[in-house]
Amino acid sequence: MTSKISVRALYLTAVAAAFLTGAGPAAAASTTQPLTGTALETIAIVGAPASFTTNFQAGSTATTTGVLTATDTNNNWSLTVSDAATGTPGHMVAATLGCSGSEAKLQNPLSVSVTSPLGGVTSAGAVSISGSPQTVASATSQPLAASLLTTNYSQTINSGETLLTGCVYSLTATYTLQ
Amino acid sequence: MSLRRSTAESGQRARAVTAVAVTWLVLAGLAAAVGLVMAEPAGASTGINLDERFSITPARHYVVARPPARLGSTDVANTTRSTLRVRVFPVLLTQMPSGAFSFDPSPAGVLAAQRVLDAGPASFKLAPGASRRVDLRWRGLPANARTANVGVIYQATPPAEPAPVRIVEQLLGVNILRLPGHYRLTGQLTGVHVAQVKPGTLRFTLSIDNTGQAVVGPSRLVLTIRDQYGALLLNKRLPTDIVLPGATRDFTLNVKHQLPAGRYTVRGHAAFGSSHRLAAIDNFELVGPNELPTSEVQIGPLIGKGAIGESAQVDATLKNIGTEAGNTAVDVSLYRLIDGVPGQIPVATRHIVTESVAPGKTRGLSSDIGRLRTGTYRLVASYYDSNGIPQTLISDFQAQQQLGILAQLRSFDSEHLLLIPSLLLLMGGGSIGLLLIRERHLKSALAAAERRVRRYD
Repeated sequence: MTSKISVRALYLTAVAAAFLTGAGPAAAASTTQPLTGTALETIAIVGAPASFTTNFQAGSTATTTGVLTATDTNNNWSLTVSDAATGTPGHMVAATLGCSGSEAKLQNPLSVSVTSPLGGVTSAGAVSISGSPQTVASATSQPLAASLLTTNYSQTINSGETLLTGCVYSLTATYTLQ
Repeated sequence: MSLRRSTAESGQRARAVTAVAVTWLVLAGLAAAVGLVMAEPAGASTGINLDERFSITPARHYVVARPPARLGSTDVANTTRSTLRVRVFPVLLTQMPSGAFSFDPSPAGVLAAQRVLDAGPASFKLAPGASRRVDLRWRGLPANARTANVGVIYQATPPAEPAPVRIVEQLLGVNILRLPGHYRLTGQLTGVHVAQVKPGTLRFTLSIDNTGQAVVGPSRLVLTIRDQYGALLLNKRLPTDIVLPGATRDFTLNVKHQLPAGRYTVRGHAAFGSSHRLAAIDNFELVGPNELPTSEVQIGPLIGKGAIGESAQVDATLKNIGTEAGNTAVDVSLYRLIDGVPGQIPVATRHIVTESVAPGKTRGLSSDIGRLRTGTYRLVASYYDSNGIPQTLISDFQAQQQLGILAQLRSFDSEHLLLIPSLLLLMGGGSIGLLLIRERHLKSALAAAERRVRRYD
């Protein structure tokens, strides 16, 4: 019973959305300027932060997973990642407090691969994060329904690096959906 | 005329997008209702679910107008559980072969884009469940330009959380702007290529150049494959999308259809604006079902050696176990070992692109690197194999004492038995040369006799 109601509610929502989206171009065409055509696509994204719980030590490779939810009604879409930090983008940096004597930044860049159980989504494989946007996932001829994408992070820490216990390293990854 | 065409195109596009959106919404609803979507539990474990999102609608504007003109607004919505700090700024767009747009988010890049398009408000806070309209205004065009392709970045920063990997989300809105009037809409099909994407799957790529004055996409894009006897094995229409003026875009098709080993011809056909009957052709060979010949160069044992004061000698063997000639690139690093542990920074590095190796053949790799002092060294050679997996070879060695002149002569003489006596003969030291040659012959005879005696024993 609950399922039927949910389906009907979603269907009605969809029909309402279709009506609203259909109204867009007409409204745009009625302006006094020769202004035409608006394609009402929606794109959406949200990501959750990720934490390394094991192996974050010298001579090891720490891995963890995070998640992104994304929606793109364009037939062709792509997702890129970059780090807007100045200095050494892509490298995890030590916190200003509690890290005296620890490496100021890690030697190797953080790498990420974005995967999806959906068919048609092309993962670019493991990508080392840098200051320039790099495609991590894309699709052609397939819109992205509201979907969960898995972000697999990997950080290699060289044996020669000194990491003080308790020192927190971090990086801000900027994901861009288009 | 172009205005009417544009309106019709936009209408068709809007209807198509609406249909896709409705289909996906209904499918998503059905999937959720019957419990097919695994997102709920996964999302719960990660703190977000599919209802939470930062979104913009519409994501694209196709506009024919004269600036200054108001383009309408974009709805920015936050259905997450956090207040988002939103920043909005325009960027000028270029297009990569994959079709993805690239842009310059630097202050200079944003300033150049702001001269064309204004988006406001430029920053605001968006509470959970709230939405806000961002107005877009076409301000003008660069000198002599009739079109502009401007993106608007909607950037959301969640509240800072003490996590190693924090996330900033960006959505790119695309605005394709042009003045009314006629435009030259032309293109070129510059090539068709085949590549192996994974075992059993071939990827065919058709590359299209937009040589015209405005944004347009191919109206027809078809790929055919024939075998060496001319039999048609595949005839497939590819989905198309827009190409910015001046950009090259690759349209791809993954083919899992089994093609046995043999020779084939692939043809691409396209129509782009007023350019009809565009064609490109390529021949390819398969060495197995859907298997292109590939090179697979492996690097054999790595040997490092060298004398103090000289460069370290790098020797290795290349072997191609693939089905096509190929080479590889090797990064060589030389470390000095202190108590058996390499220093953090190599004393020298070198990037070597090897020569091509024929399939099934081997070839020597020889190079030098750095300058050696007294001590022990580690040579590290890294390369990627044909599967893209990094491979590393290591060789530790002791820097040798440099030989004196006499020792070097003796070493050289032992390696080149008759060279020095012959040179002496030529230079006029006849008797000494002859004596040396006789000595060598006697030594050889003695050694042969000793070997025979040992065999009898």
